[in-house]
Amino acid sequence: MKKPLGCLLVFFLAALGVRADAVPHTLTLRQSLALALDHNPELRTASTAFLSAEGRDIQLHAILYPTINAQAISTPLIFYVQIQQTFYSHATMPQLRLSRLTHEQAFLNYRQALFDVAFQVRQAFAIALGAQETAALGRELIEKRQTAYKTGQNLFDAGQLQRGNVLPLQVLVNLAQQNEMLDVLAEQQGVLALAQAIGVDLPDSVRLEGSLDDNGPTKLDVGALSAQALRDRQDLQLLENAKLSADQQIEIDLKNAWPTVGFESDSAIQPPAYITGGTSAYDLERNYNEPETQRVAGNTQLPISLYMDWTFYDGGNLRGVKTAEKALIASQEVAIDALKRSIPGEIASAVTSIESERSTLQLLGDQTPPSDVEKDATVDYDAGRVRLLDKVNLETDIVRQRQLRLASQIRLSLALAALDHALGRGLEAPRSAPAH
Amino acid sequence: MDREIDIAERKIKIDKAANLPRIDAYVADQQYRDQTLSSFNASQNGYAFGLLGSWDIFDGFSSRGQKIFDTATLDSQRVARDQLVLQIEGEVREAYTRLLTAQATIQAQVANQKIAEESVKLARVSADSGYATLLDVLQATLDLTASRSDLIRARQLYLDAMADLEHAISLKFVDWPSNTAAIRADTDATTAVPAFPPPPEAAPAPASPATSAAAPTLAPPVEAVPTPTPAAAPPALHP
Repeated sequence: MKKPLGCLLVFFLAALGVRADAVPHTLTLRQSLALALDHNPELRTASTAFLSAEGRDIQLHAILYPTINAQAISTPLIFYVQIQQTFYSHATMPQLRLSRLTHEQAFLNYRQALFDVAFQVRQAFAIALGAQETAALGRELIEKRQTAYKTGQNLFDAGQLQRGNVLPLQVLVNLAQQNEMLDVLAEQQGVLALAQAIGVDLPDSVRLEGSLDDNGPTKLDVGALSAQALRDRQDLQLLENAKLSADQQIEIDLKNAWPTVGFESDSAIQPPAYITGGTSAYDLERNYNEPETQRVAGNTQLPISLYMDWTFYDGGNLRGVKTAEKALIASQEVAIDALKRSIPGEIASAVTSIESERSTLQLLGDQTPPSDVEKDATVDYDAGRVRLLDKVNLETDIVRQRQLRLASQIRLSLALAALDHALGRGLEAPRSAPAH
Repeated sequence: MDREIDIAERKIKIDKAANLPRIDAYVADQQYRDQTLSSFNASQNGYAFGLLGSWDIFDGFSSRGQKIFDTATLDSQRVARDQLVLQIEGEVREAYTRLLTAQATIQAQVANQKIAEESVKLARVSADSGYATLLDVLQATLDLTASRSDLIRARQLYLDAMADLEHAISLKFVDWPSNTAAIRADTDATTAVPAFPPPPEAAPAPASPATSAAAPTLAPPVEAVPTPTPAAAPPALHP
C-alpha cells in the first residue's frame, strides 16, 4: 500500500457504500472492512451507545420540564393533581453539559471501536493472506519434490540410480506434504481469525485477494509521530471526555448542597359526596384548620406555592459522595497519564519493526533472484554436475528464501497496521450514527 | 446470556409501565382530632377502605428516556450473545481443524519415519560400500530427525487441539463409554495409528453446527491412547 491513510479512507468510504450481506468466495481487504462495518460485534455494541446516549440525553433534559402527577382515592373520592417545576437548581447546567458530553462520548467510543476493528481486520487479513501465500509456496515445493521423486524413481527403474538415492527424495516429499498440512492449518486459522474480526462465519474455502503492505510512510520520526498521536488518538480523547463527564456528575450529585427553587401546585379536587353526612365527606388529608363550615363535600383547593429546598447538613453524606467521585476522577487522570506515556512506546516499537523489516527485505532483495539460481541449478543438473538430490535441496533453499521474504512482508504489514493504530489515524469516522 | 436478555426485555416492560395509571387498594383505621381542641375526646374515628389511583401524567420525558436507554442495553445484550455464539463457533472450528490436521499429519509422519529409517540404513550401507558420501548419510539422518521431531510436534498439536476442543464444547471425550471401551480393547496396542474422524453428520448432534462438527470420536495420536469407535454416539454425555 502506497499511502495507508489515504487507502484506508478509501476503504472506509467504499465500505459505507457496500452492503455485503452475503459472504463472497473471494475476499479483499476492502470487502472485509465492509463486512466488519456491518457485522463486527464490537462496532454493533458501540453503535448501541448512540441509542443509550439518546435515552440519557432525554433523562438529563427532564429537569427543564414540569412534572405532573395525579392521584385519586375512593373513600372519600378526592383527586389530587400535583404540578412541579424547578426554576433553579445547581444541577441544571451540569445536566445539560453532561447530556452533550454523553453524545460526544458515544461518538468517540464508536470512532475508537472503528479504529480498533479496522486494525484487527487489517492484521487478520495480512496474517491470513500471508498464510495463504505460504501454503501456496508449500504446494509449489511439493510439486518440485514430487517431480524430482518421479525422476528418481524412473532412474531407479532404469537401473541408473540406487534405492538409497531415491528414498531420501521420498522422505523429502513426505516432509513437504507434512509442512503443507501445517500451512493449510495456518491458512484456515487465519481465515477463522479474520472471521472473528469481521464478525461473520467465513467458509474455509474463502480465497483472499490483495497484496501485503510493504511501503508505508518513508519518513518515520518517532517524536513527530508521538506528538501527532497525542493529538489524534481517539482513546485519549475518550478518556478526557469521561473525566469531563465525571466532573459534571459531581455537580449533579451535590445539587442538594445548593438551594433549589421551584414552583409547585398540589391541587385537591373533591367532588360532591354520594354519601351524605358523617366523616366520609371530609377531605381527610387536608383542611385540618379550616372552619367546620367549609368541611363539606365538593370542596376544592388550587394552591400554588413557590418553594426552596436547601440541605444544610446531611450527616456527611454529600461529602462522602464528593470524595468518592473525586477518587474516580483521580483514577481517570492516572489512566490518561498512563496512556500518554505508553503512546511513544507503541510508536517506537512499530517504527523499529518497520525499519527492521525494511532492512531485512532490502537484504533479501540484494541476493541473487531465486529464478536465476533455479535456472543455474537446472543447467548444472542437466550437465551432470550436480546430483538430483542436490538439485532438490537447492530448490528447497530457494523456496525457503521466498518464505523468508514473505514472512518479512507479513511482519512489515503488521507493523504498518500497528503504526496506523498507534497514531489513531487511517479512518474517517461517520458524521452520524450508524444504522446498526 | 439469554437470561440477561430476558431481564433486559422485562426492564423495558417496567419502563413502559411508568406512565400508566396504577391502582392500589387500601384499608385504614383513622382517627382525626379536632384541631381546635388539645385532646382526642372529640376526635372522629372511622374505618376506611377503598382504592387509590395514581398516574404520572408527565415526567419531563424521563421514563421515555429510561426506556430508550434500556432498549439500547437490550440491543447490546443481543450483540453480546451473537458475539459469544461466533466466538464459540470459532473456537470449536479452530480446535477441530487442528485436530484433523494433526491426525492426518501423524498418520503420514508415522509412515514417513519408517521410510526415513530405511533411508538412513541404505545410506550407511552405500557409504560403507563407497557408493555414497558421508554427507548423504548425514542428510538422511537429518531427514530422519526432522521426521521424528515433526511427529512429536504433531502429537503435541493433536493433544493441544483435543484439549481445546474439549474445553470449547465442554465435554471430555475419554469419559464417553465408547471411548472407554476402546481404551480397554486397545490397551496392549503399541502402534495404534489414529483413525480419521467420522464425517460431521455421523457425530452426535449438539446444539450448533459448529459443535456438531466436533465429533467425540476422535482418536488420540499417541500409542498409549487408543482409537475410539468412529460412528458410536455416546449414550450419555458427561459435561
